[in-house]
Amino acid sequence: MKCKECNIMMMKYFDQTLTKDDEKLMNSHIESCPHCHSEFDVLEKAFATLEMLPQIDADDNFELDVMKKITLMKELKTETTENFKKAFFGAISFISLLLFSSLILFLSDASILELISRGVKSLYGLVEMARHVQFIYDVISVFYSQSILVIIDTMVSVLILIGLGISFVIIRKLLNNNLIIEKVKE
Amino acid sequence: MNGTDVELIEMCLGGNDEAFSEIITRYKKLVFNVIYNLSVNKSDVSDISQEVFLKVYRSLKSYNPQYKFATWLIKITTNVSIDWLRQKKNNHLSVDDITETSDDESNPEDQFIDKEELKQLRKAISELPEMYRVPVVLFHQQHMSYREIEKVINEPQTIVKNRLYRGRHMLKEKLQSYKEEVQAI
Repeated sequence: MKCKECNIMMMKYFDQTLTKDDEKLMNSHIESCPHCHSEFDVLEKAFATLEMLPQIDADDNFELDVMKKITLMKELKTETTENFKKAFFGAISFISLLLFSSLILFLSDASILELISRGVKSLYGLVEMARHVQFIYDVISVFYSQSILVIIDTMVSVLILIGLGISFVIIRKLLNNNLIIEKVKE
Repeated sequence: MNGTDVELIEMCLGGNDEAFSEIITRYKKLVFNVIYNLSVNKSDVSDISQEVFLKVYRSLKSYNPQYKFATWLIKITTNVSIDWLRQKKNNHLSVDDITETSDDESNPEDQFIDKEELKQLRKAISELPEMYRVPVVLFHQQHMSYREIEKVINEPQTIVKNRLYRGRHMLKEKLQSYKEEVQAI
């Protein structure tokens, strides 16, 4: 038998899948080959030692420590869910208000752009910006129809909605997972 | 508290936290030793074990009672340990942990273990890449079957066998080189 074959048999032996006949063949090779003999000895000792490696004991208070963290985790989760509900209903109210305002603006033939320009005009330092917004509004209302303004209003509302949606998903993930895990780890 | 693992898990899912405390009592030693033998420093074992049980608690709903609870638990244990070792970027044991042997001299088994061989073995295992270290420890130390290891590492049996084969081979090479170093001295 060649050493390579013996090596495969050795592995099968440690896998406990070697047949009795092959075991005899392997043993006779090991007895006659110092190299394979040494390899077999090293592995046999290693696995015998591995089985007898000193076991370590868990701390006596281990269960208590874990259960304390679980209680804390639950409390944080409840708190987070409550906060999320508040934020969610707040956002729904805000969005409803926004949609309602858009509807009023649409019905009264006004525009968000016009209102923004009027609002920011009163603020010191923002006059220049208000002028630009007013300019855009004037250009649109002079050269294009009123329907363009309605489309812009709708687009602004949709963009705000998408922004809010993404923010909520991110906030919820952060609050539910990372924050809880980090706090519990502390 | 009595009951099978599955019964305890059902109780946990029903809101009974005492049942989870019983699960910890049953399996804490197994978890501690799997983590320790995957070459984690002893001082970190308790923290990682806590992380394991917290993860188990959070994932109880996804446990499939068709499989042994211990297998599922060891799967989580090895994943958390490997993540920990990767985060630390230092997979090697501290000198204290390598040289540490059981203090309990009254244990007759320990008296048969050559302390030097034990040191070499722990060092060799700690130097094995994780993909080989996990199957070697689970098969030879925890006496898990191929089928169980297959579920733990999420790889087919052929890969489990191959990794065990290569892991043993690497272990043998390392131990032989230590032996030669000692003989040279």
